[in-house]
Amino acid sequence: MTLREFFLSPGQDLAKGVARGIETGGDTVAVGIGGAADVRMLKWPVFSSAVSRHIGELLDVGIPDVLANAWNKSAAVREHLEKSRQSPGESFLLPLAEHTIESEHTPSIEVLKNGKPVAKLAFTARVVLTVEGAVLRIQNGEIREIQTGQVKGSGTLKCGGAVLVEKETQAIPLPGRVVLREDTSAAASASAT
Amino acid sequence: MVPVILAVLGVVASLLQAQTVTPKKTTGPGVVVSERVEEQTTERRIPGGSETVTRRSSERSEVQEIRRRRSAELPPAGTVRVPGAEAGTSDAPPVSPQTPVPQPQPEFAIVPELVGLNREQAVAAIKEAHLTLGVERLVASDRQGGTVIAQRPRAGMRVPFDAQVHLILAEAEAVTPPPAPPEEPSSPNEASGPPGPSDQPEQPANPEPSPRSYSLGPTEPLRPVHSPQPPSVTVRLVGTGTAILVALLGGAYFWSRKYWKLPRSISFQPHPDPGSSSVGSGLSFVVESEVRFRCIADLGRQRIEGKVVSA
Repeated sequence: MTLREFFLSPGQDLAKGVARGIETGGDTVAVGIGGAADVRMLKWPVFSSAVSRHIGELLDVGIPDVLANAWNKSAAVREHLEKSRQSPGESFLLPLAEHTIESEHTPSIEVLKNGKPVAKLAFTARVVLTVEGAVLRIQNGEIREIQTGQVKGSGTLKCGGAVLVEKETQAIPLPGRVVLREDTSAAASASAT
Repeated sequence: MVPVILAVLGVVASLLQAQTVTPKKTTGPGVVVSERVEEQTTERRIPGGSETVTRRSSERSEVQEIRRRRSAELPPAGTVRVPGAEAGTSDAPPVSPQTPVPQPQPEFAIVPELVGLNREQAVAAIKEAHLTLGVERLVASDRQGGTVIAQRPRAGMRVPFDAQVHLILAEAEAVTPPPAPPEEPSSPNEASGPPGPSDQPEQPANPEPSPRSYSLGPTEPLRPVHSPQPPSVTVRLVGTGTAILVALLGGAYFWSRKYWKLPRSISFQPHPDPGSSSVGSGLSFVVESEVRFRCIADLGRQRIEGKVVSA
């Protein structure tokens, strides 16, 4: 599951919101690097329509990656990762308590005119994920899998001051096994035999 | 597409209007004004002679050519041409068995001043100047009916001998054909033609053509019709103006629609480089350059609230 799937539904049109954000956001949203003509171009309706079709690409970030990135910064999790590093080739299961991860993303779209960047549009995505009952499998000092658990989330996608999407989901059960990183040593030994 | 069709329809309508037979008009005694697409030559018998009426049409205007030959005014024609009868066609000049004795005539003639004269005086002056009467047209005027109000060529011009002088006459107010007794045809050819319709429709069965009747060509009967409509030239000008106006409006509509459609026709195509995309040639046409988008994702900054690892 990605942030695109979390925020966007198929056929959703965000052009009006993008236009409103460009109009009201000013330089905090759209920066015309090339000059006045490029700033005018940013305000074209067709421009905001084109931009809205690429917002999904900005949100192609996996939620498991977001979670793993957050857990890797947790001191308690890092302690267990260090222990696993002492026992190479051995897997450890680490049950997690219910906790909340707040993630803030600032993707952007650069406008290239004849190959040169002339403008930049900034977006803001803020996601709050509540994780319950998750179990991590760690090995060689890395998080390999997320086993069981469920995630409940809410989030807001903005373009400047304009809210493009505001969403809140029910508890989503995690798949039984989310592979975050392949066990390269195990795969290598399996292929050798 | 629609404006083009409108423009074509406007032009077609104008052309159709130009080819429409306009109502014929009898404007005065002895003068018939009408407009037809094809040329027709008719003859009419009047007291003391015959009258040949030739009608033509050209691309822009139709000319009514009325040739009169009266025995009192011109040398006797001798034969009367009737369509379908023996000698000659309607386009051939009348053949006169009594050829007048040639007299010495000048090489050129001076066009006399005819404006202000009545028709009889003008015809006499034309004959005196060794010229021939050309096309007569009647136009509405406040002058007395039959008065020459314009001529061509202008007075004083030197023209070849026997050249035609065209007249524009003032139109008479009312048509009151003078009663005249029926007359026996002077030539068998005159009697061989079918009797044509008369100005007086209540006497259509008169076997002898009345002074106001005339023989008709084989193609289509020619009937004088009283019509209050304005001259057809004006109608045609109005039709042409309407066609031009419709064409202009259609063109303006077409171009404006094309202009308005430009932003809507822009297409966006994915760029092969993942994470960026390009705007298609439609937008390139508008901004005269290629515009692409580079999408920069962000893994974000995470913050954990609460105890992560359970005891």
